[in-house]
Amino acid sequence: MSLIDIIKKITQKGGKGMKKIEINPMTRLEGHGKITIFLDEQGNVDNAFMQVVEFMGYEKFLIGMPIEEVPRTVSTICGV
Amino acid sequence: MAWEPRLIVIACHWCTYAGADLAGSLRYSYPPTVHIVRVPCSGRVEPEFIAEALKRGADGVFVGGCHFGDCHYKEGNYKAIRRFKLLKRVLTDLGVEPDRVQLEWISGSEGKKFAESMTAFDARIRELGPNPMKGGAQ
Amino acid sequence: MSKPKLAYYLAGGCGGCDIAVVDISEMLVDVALAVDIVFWAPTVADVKYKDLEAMPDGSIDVGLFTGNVRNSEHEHIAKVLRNKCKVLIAFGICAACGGIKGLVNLHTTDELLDKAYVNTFSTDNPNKELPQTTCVVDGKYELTLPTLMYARPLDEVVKVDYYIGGCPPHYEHVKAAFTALLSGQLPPPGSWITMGKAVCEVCDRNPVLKGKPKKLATEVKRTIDGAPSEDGCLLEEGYLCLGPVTQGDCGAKCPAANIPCRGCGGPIPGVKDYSLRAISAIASMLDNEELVDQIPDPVHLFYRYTLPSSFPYKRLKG
Repeated sequence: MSLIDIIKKITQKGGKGMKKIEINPMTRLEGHGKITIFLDEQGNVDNAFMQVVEFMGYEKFLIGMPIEEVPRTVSTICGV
Repeated sequence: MAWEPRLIVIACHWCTYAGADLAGSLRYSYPPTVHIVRVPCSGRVEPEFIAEALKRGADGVFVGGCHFGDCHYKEGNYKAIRRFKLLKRVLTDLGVEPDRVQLEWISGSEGKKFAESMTAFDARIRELGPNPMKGGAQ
Repeated sequence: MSKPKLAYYLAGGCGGCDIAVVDISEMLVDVALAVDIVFWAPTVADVKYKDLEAMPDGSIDVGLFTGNVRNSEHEHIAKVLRNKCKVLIAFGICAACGGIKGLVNLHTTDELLDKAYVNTFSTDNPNKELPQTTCVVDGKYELTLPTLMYARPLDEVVKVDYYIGGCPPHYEHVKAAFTALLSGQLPPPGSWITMGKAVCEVCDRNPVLKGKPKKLATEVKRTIDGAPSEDGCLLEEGYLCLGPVTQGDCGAKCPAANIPCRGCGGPIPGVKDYSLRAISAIASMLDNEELVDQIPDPVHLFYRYTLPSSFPYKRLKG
């Protein structure tokens, strides 16, 4: 199979007729992210995006917690 | 059909339940929306009972026990007030209306007070409206 | 005979439980030789979601799910893993009960996003832009994000076979759990894998283990007030240790380091609603009801690890 055929096999349509390759999830790290690569008609990379797909919310729920408990709490933002 | 509140009253056997009985004997009436659950002592009441009642759609929970010094098991009502105060503080912080959950000491000879407390409780819950958690908070 | 297959997924968690598994150190070699790790996303193995979805149903023997279910992607993978795994374990207190990240249930998604992206003194976002579930960049690149939901423990989404508590589970407990798993000696499905003792039962500070009765606390102290004694019970001294209702698989390491237990091990056997039982236990251990008013922040204390699984599960409107 040529490279173009392989790319056609693994890509899907991505808005406005653009083919896209989605790499989901990004691995060997702590956290959730995905990479989306958009291809033009020739199969060359037109643009690529990295998105962080998680959101926590510590900024809000820490409000009101006694200060001495905060270090023990925020260590759970990343346990690695 | 118009909404009628469902009120759960957890009454201690030696005092509040006896007071409820006395209210009946003396013909003091109180609303039929009240459902009484008998426990041996108000100290038996766990926050989980109150939470389970609210989860299952009770519009108000009332805990009744003996006055301080009169508890048949000596210290049960002291434990009850401490648990209840802390639970009420937490539930209020989390958005439950404070008057949905009440605690009062009603002795076995206070039949009239029992009827009056029930009437006031029913009126207050009618003001607050139905339990927003009906069907579970999820 | 082929090796049993293991899958591991980190959803709305921090990766600490991943490290707890790696921390079993020498035993990890035995585990890695004994099992076939087919999926470990996103921390360790380069296996994508599409590869997981392509595996036959029921082909994975054990699935470890960590972190709570916080967005639509986590929910989707939880359901996929339930189909692919014969045994699904809620690993760590986040998957079992909601975890610290479950405290987001105290606020609405709008409030959380507003504080994170718009309303702090150090954020420069004049157009108040917030993340959207779909976004078309430059008119031709369509990007998507999962939908945010309120935090849920794993058993709200799929049926869970076993629970392991801890934040993260202590490596001795993980070793014991893996030994039980690999040898097939497990309790009935739906239960916690634990030795069944409360933190107090394994704590060196417990006066009952030394033959003396436990006294009620006569004052309430924050961990910054004074210093705990060498070997006295922290709860007696007023530090509000949640040891009596917490599982002690950790060996009471926090009280041994002069820090009161905060309940990461999960509820002791027989308790379904951890936070309410903790409220009952701590209130019973206070000497009088005035002390109840002195507890600085009961919600963040009792619901620290278990808000999504303890009534009322989230802050109600109003």
